Amino acid sequence: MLDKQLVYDVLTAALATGGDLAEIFMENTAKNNIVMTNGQIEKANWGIDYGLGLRIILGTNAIYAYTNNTSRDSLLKLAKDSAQAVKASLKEDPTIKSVIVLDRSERAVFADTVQIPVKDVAKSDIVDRLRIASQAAYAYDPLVTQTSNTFLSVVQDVLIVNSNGVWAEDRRARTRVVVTSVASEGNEKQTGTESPGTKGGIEFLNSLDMEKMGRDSARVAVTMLKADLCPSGRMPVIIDNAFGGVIFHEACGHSLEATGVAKGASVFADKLGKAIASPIVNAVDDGTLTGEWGTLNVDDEGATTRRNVLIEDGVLKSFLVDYLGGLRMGTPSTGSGRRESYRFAPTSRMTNTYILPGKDTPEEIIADTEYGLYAKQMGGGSVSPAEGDFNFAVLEAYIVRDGKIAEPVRGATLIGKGHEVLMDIDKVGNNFEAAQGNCGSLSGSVPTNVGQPMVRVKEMIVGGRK
Amino acid sequence: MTFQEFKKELFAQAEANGFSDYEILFLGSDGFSVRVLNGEITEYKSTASQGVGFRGTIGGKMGYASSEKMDASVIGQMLENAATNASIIEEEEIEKLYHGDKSYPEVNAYNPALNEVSASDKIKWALEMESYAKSLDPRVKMADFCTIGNAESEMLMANSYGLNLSQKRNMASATIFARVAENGIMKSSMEYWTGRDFGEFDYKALAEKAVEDALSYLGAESIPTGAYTIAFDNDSAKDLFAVFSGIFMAENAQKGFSLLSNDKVGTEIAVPHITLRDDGVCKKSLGSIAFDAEGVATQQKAIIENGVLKTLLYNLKSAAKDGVKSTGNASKAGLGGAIGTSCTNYYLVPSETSFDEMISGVEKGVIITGMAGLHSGINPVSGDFSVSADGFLIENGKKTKPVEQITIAGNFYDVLKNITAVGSDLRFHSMGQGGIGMPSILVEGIRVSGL
Repeated sequence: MLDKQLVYDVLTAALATGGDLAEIFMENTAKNNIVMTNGQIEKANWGIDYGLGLRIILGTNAIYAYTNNTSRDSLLKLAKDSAQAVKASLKEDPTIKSVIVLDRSERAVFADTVQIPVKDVAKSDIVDRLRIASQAAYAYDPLVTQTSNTFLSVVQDVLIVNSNGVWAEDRRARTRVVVTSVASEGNEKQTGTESPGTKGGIEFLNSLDMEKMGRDSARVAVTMLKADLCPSGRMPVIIDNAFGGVIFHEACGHSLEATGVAKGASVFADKLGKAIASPIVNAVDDGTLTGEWGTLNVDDEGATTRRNVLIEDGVLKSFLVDYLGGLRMGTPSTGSGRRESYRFAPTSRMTNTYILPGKDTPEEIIADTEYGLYAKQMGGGSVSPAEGDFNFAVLEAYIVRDGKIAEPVRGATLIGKGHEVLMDIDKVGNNFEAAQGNCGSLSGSVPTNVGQPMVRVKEMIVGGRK
Repeated sequence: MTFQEFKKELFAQAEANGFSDYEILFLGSDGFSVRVLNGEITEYKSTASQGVGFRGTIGGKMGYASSEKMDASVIGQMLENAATNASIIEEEEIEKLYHGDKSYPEVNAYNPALNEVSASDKIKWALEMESYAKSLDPRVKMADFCTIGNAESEMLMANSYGLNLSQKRNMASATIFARVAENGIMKSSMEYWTGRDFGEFDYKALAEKAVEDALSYLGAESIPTGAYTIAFDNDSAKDLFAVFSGIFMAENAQKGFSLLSNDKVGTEIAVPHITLRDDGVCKKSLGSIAFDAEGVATQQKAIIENGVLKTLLYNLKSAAKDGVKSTGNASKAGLGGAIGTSCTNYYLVPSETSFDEMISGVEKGVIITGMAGLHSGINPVSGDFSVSADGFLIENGKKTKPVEQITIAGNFYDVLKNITAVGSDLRFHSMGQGGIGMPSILVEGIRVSGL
């Protein structure tokens, strides 16, 4: 995207008045989306996001600037203006660092692994697939009154360079389909959603059973429509696999990010090497898994992603660390520096974050539960890392009575404190599955996977309307 | 390429490619912010961005494309994609470009003096705000996200019918997050200021409020499940009304994604002392705007007046469907977003009752000062919500101890009918291109779950 000389000149200008590291993040991102509402295509958009972010690191602080004018003059001006800010921040005489820019042969340039690029597919073909899901949902039950089916494709080309000799170029293609059904009766409306995604191209659509997705989303909407209101209070909660993993994402993952840990604003900040979860809990953050939604070849600072063991037999093994967070904490990056786009400075984030499978079967866990809530499908959630308070919504839930799944209930919310709930996990199942989400934080919204087998928490606060 | 050059080339090629009418929207913005931590500038941010959105009719359908790259090379791609996108549209109601209104409201949303405040002044205030917050109480452990910034934006809209609109706006803001700790338990509170004149900015007041609030949460505990009168403070009331604002959009009502409809106009949907307005130009809000995303002049109007639904909010397409006029509420999510509907400056008309007076008659209640999970714990269609919350207990008319780890659950349509009192403390916040303002409210019939 930029030639070696220009990169060299920009980084050199950025460090002309001091500073320890200068970094360029440039992207050209093509986005396509198609929205079908109630079986008819209503919206279709195409757009290019384009720009460059320049970061200068000074001690453990940063100067960040971005522009979408990438002409030589504009970039040199951006670098010079940023260098002026460096000058103003310095308390002592600066040492001027030299800039290392790699030759072509030494660079990390990743091969494009997309099999079917979005531009090679007729949009009408995608429309036909969305229609199958919509028709299947309407056919499932006459109570299904609306459907909304969306296709999303994002292809982000990035160039990540820094003055220490990092040069990475990558194409990150992501494809996702969101199938939503609404079931109605009188004033009551309930929704069901299926939203699989991949790091990959349109070939992903060939692996999807659109008819089943339409039916499954309709089944949840109709089941919840007929469900009674969820009872409130403290009770054992069984959280099923796939998007159930959002519990670990909220209750623990965010609180392991360097963003909070480095300044002591996390309940786990001083817990490395200590037990923070029940001994049956093992968890990883793995950015290397092929084709997964949260996967990256390199993070948004050019560091190779890896499999980070976060919790082993209940003991905290690692935090999630970006470059700057690492400087603040005195530890190396874990390949966790991420950002939504050039508009954001990177921070420590999750990729594919999983609780690993245990040994109980789901049937055994349910049979072992006298009374409690079975949360089959979770919605989103959030957390405040300093206090550990988290919450999330349950989309599909049932009461468990005498070891059996009984009646469906709707409108439940689960809340708790991360450090307490991890200790209270008393069963980990063997039916691991992952699911896709978008995680929002300081550096914007990034694609992340959550995942787990079925787990049981001894006791949680269930918020319902009854 | 300048905007004028880009527009000329885009319009010429659109005409040549068979678009029967077309529109360009330009958005440019510049921003500055500085964040300090422990007496140092931890992030210094300077940003400049621009981009264009295109809409045009081809084969009787509307096609969209957008680009943040503004050079001649993308024009062909934009038009090709816009044409393909138009070709797959199946919806029968046709989206149309607007010829323009005779007049547009006067909006003064730009203060040139804001640009004259130097970066070093802003850095100084941020550093002073942090050290002042830390000096207020030994329990203050940290004042992070201490940020001061300002931003300005320019929006230009032009189409093949000769419409030519522009709007320039700017704004300043400051944020502080106070974190306090006692007996190993941490509590925090965020406070912020927005304005158009740094002369009105008082960093001491901001720091004092954040610290005072954070300290007041120390010792918070959950409370027993049961029936309580709920007092939403103006901030949490704003969050609740913002997340359910979609129910007033005609577009949602027409698709069955709201329980309201044009047929319900004239009926009582709220208690008689509720008046909810949406004003394009609003002195108390920083988000005044003269025209909407379709170029329609914004309006001053009541959505609910004395409990009665007066109108839904419309863009051109949803208005045509209900046989009414657009209310100037078209919106676009970014440059590439399709035309949707949103509020301009949406607010509940306040009363004369102070917050303390409002809760003085409450025997057993909870003041809600914060809610978490509003993005997931709500059903925007049915109005059901169940979210995590914290705040304070009300006992015999007085605010007493702090409360955490509870959930509150209810239904927004019921809330409108169960508001027993409205406070006087209206406060505006930014929302999208406009703003939202809420006073505190007292509500019955909300379920509290805790111990």
